Amino acid sequence: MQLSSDLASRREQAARYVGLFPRAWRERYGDELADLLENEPLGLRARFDLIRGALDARLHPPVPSPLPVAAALVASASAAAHAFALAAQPVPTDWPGYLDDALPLIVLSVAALLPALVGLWLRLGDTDGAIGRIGIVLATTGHLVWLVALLAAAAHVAYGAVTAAAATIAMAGTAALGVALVGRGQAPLGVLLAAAGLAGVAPPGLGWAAFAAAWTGVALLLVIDFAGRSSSTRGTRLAG
Amino acid sequence: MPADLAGLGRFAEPSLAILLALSEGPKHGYAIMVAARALTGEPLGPGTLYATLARLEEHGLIEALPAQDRRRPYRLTAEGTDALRAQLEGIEGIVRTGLARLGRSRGSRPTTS
Repeated sequence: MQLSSDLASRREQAARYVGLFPRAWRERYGDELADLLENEPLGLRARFDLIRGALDARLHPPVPSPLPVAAALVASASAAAHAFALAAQPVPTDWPGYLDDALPLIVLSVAALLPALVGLWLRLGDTDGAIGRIGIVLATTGHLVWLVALLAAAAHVAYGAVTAAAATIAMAGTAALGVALVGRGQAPLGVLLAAAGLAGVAPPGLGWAAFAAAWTGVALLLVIDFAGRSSSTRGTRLAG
Repeated sequence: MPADLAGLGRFAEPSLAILLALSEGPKHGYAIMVAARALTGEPLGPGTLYATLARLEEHGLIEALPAQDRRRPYRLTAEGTDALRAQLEGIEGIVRTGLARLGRSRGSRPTTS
């Protein structure tokens, strides 16, 4: 009676920990991990290790997430639309109507760049290096502050120095991530990302056009890569 | 394919322990954990074990065999055997050099130049 109660308790505990992992991961490794956990007493260190493993599995899913790809597409399309609007009807950025016209597209682009950049950082894998880590910290911090500053501008609170500083930090982080990707053998993607970072600090008219072109290139490469990785993962899973 | 396990970052060390454990023959997760612990003297947590197995499988260094009940054995691939050999030869070179230096300087403190 005691034995079956212990077994039931271990099974329940194993199921709880396996449940921390993402669904696609559980489909592949869930049964064997549950079996292992039911046969091994779980100390505090093992429990912490499982939580860290579940976090890692969420950051490095066996089936690549489409979110960064979709985000890069949205960001590049919004930036391209804004660049086209600037080219079609050039106005000085201090013109009173500029912000009302430009903000929706810029806000959409900056908001979408955040998940796209996190997805690009994850491509660096387990050896992201100092440049990759500095890049992702600067890029996410810069884009977040830039986004908040743009929303504040939309609410007519303020617009100016903070926005420019945040955008510059975001671009420095973007360029650093590009350099890190080049260093990890992902040259086309890295070069385009570094170019996007440099374009982002260029004067608005030409800068937005170059920024949009570079991000469109990044998005297209991500789409091609995603299609390839998804089909190879499907192939592996079917074979297994 | 990383013939060099250093590309696996913080998973390089558990990778070496797992590849070594599998060099004896196919093993499932629990048996790998026990063998790795016996080899290194350090416990290999279940989260690290499966994060590392997933990476080694993704890099083609190990492959899964058909599951037996809920247990799935893994075995080294040819690439995994090459990677393990390269890693062990690298370690052997370091050990040989280190021991030779210590042998030369036995009884005298190493110089700082």
